[in-house]
Amino acid sequence: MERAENPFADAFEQSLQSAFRDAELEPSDSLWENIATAPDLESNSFEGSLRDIFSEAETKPNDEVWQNIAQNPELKGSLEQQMSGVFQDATLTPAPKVWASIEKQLHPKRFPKRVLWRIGGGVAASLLLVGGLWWHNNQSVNSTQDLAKIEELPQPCYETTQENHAAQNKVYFTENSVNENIDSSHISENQAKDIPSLIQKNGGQIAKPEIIIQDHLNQVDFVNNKNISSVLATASKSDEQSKQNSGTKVISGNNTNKSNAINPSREVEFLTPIQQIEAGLILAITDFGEPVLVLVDVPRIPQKTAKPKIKLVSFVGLSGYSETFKPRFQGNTSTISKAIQLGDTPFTDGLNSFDNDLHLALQDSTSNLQSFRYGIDFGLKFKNLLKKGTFSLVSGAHLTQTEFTVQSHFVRTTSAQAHTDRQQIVGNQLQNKSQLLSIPLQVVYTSGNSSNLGFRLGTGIETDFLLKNEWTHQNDELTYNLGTAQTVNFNYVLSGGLLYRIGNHVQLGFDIRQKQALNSTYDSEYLESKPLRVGFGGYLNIEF
Amino acid sequence: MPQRQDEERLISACCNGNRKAQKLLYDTYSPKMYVVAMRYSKTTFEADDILQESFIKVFNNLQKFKQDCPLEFWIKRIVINTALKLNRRKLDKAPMEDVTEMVNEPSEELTLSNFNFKELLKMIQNLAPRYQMIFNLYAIEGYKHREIAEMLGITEGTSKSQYSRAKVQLQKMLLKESKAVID
Repeated sequence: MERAENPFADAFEQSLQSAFRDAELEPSDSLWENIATAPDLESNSFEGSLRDIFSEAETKPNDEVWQNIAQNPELKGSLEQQMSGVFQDATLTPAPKVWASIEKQLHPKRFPKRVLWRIGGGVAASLLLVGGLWWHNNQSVNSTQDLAKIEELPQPCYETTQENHAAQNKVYFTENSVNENIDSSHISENQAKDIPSLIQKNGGQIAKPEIIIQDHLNQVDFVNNKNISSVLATASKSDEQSKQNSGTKVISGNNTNKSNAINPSREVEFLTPIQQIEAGLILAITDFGEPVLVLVDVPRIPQKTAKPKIKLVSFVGLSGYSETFKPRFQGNTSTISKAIQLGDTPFTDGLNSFDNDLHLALQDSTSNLQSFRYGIDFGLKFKNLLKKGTFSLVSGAHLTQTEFTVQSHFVRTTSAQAHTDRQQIVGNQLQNKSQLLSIPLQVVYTSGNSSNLGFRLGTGIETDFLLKNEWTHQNDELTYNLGTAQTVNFNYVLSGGLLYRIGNHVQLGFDIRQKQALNSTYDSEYLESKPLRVGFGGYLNIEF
Repeated sequence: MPQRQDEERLISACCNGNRKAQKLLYDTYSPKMYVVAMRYSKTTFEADDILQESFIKVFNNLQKFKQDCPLEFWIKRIVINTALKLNRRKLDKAPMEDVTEMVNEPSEELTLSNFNFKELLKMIQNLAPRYQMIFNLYAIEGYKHREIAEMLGITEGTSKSQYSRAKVQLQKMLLKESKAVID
């Protein structure tokens, strides 16, 4: 386009400037070039319309005009363009504390979120509620639950979805609201205070979680009820008795956010399926950004266990007893003296021969009959036969030594044809020593609430075999066998006492024992034929 | 500024948690982004918060960056979004002024060659919060009024009118400063 000198150049420039200003256009170099050279500009383009204007104008702008327009700062850069240009390369150095704050909140190692959570080394909650869970689970008998420890987080937890603005804004708890959320009916305030604040409050982090004690037996779907949106950590109990379908100990975090936090129907993915977590801790964030800590309890399902296997335990031991039994006559028996015809015994005094009637009159008998019994015991213990306590069959071999001494007076009455009767009182002391072999056969029940102290009850039959029976007379002039002992005696035994367990295999016990003869022990006018022996003793049993 | 391959390596290292790489990325882009943050805030404290939160989001979501645009643009967008989010309350509370009164006031084009960016930054920070947002978005970031309206939840007409007012205020400040310099 030819550009000739134009006296109206100034006006033309101004009009062009105005045109560009109004149009908010930036005149670029290419625009001028297009206007100047392009032959077929579209008429609806700005360049085209200008071209049309120039082609119809009687005067055409010259180079100077174009240059002025092009170089006009008002056209070359509007306020917006100037501003943009000024700030385009502007820099300012932020304070070092900004990076320090950022660095604190950066994860030390970045893995794909799924991998991070699944390898159990990512974000997990920093809390361990062993005390509360131990207290809660110790209510059951024979509980051996062991709560898995939740590892402390090296870094604080974050809302995992960047778009979750609503939840992110709601995670800023005040201390009061957090404390109000703690369910004091299940966890004491002291225990709740022990739960550390997970992270700071002013950095997009979550505060202390709400504590929920969830009884899994009730099958309450706490996930939906509490709008769980993100599970940060789970830990399940490792006790074999409490586990049902859950796997091994789980300590991990889990990123579960998949959709908008406002939508409560979001799917929640758990590392361990929530239905299978029988017991444990679950730290999660709800859709509203509220942290919750759920303690899932072990169901108290009474189990019908198979009949316990009866366990036989043998034992041996030693025992010793002291027994006493009453004579038939006791104390001064003069009033009940009895004349016993002892028979005729002729004798002579050198001049005359006499017949002799010997009558025995028992006048006193003060001896207590004592027997000492000691020997070995052995038996079988039946464990798990009863719900509580054990039954045992006990036998043994004991030596019973019985001694008794009888003080007696004899009245000898003699009569002769030529003399009147003459009575003579003769005293004598008779001592009896006998030995018996006692074979007991008892059923014994032992039990006890304490781990060491218990009691024992026993009953059974004891058979005594006479081994030896001796009479010793002080006065050999007159001897008398006060009776014969039976060779075999059967007795009923009843015993009871305390026992003390030393370790798992040794028992030390003290019994009171009663032994009642079932058949005649002595064939004697003097002694009880079926004596009742009462005594006490002790025993030491060793199980193996 | 790192080349594209260097940028990819840097991004990869940052995603793997390499602290040095993260520091390098921060040192590379934070000076410019800090200016952006300053333009959207009133004080350095606010700007620090914007920058801190922005870079945390950057590092947390770096694996999502598809590299379909320069990293600087992506980071800048995060900074702007963060600034808008944090300042959204101020926008709601900004007083509404009479449109007719402001629009009719004549505007005078000024050259900014007499001002350095810190002075201009201060003027921008002195604008009312809403004007500050809209002015930044339109005049400096280059968004259209339709886009600004969507971002701020206002109508396009409101965006245009408020931008006009912002511009007039700024021009007054510029004129005042210019006359002060001349005097």
